[in-house]
Amino acid sequence: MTMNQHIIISKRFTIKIMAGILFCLFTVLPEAHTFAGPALFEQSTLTISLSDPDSAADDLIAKAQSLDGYFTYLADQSVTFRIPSSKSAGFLAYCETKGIVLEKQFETTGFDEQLDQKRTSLKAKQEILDRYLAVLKNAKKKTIVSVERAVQEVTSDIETLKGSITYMEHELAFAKIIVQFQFKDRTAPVYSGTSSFPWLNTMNLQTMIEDFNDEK
Amino acid sequence: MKNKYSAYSLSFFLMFVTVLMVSGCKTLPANAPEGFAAYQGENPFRAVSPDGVMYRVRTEENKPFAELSFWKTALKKHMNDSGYRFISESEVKTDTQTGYQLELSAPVGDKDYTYLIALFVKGDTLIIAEASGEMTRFKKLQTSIVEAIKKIKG
Repeated sequence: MTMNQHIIISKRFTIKIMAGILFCLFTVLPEAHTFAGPALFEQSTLTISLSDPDSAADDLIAKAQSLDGYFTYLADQSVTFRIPSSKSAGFLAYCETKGIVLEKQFETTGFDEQLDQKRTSLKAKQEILDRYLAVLKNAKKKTIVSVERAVQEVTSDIETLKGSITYMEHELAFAKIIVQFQFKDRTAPVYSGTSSFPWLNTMNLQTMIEDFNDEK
Repeated sequence: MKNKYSAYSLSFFLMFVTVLMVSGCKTLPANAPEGFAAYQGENPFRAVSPDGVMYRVRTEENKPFAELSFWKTALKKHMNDSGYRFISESEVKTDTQTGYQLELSAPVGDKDYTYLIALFVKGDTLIIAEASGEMTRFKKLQTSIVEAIKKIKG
């Protein structure tokens, strides 16, 4: 084997390796990425205190829209947003810069099982529908009505399943973020005055406010 | 001669009474936070900011006698049980003492208030500093309030 033949073989080998890498990059890895990790619906509730809720709400809505998100509910003391899941952390961090953070809650709901179940059911129903349609083609007059009724029922089930799957996919794609501008629970602390330590019974915000009001 | 001794005795007696009176008074060497106006009266010492943030320093009897670690736990539990929301807790130091600082919040009407408590134990006396106001107003003055707490001389 000459030197030139060696070079040609090693070049072919290199090209094969590169082709293999490209194949992985464009086919295998994206699929692996798609199915990596559980399907989770994220919901965050952020309570912040600020002096001007109206302008803060306007600002947050503009920010949400710039991130391809939107708001679904707007009230004096609260706004609910839907933000693309990949951008929700950045949006939350932005919200936190708007005021004093009082409370943060984060919860996730796993949709893996439900989604798989609905997709499997959809596939099965579609197969049933195909079979019914095949039967319908050769159906006799006596049976045509009952087959049609069955087709109608299966079609309805398929539409319901498709709707549920679309809803779940949207829930997964868009995180729900609720921003409150004050505590939702407006229950004031209770003054019981029943502590065994007398001085602790004097620790009360309302009493302090009254003490200062008496001075006016 | 007798009158001379009587005059000496009287002046010693008056000095003694004065010393007793001065040492008996429990003064609270607290200062108003920067930008606050102080009310008359020393115990409690009270001051207020132009936008209504309140600052109060007072003493209570350390009864039953306990150390700061005991009162820290008792105070936090009591406030939590009463329905205040916990924000933060930390150590606070004056020139001579180490105390406990607890930051809480609570709704008052349609506003959310911050309620800051600092506690120092000095023998049989507890020194309690409290500050409160609407949350965003309070936040702006928090640094000067904490500075005033650090200058309390118990």
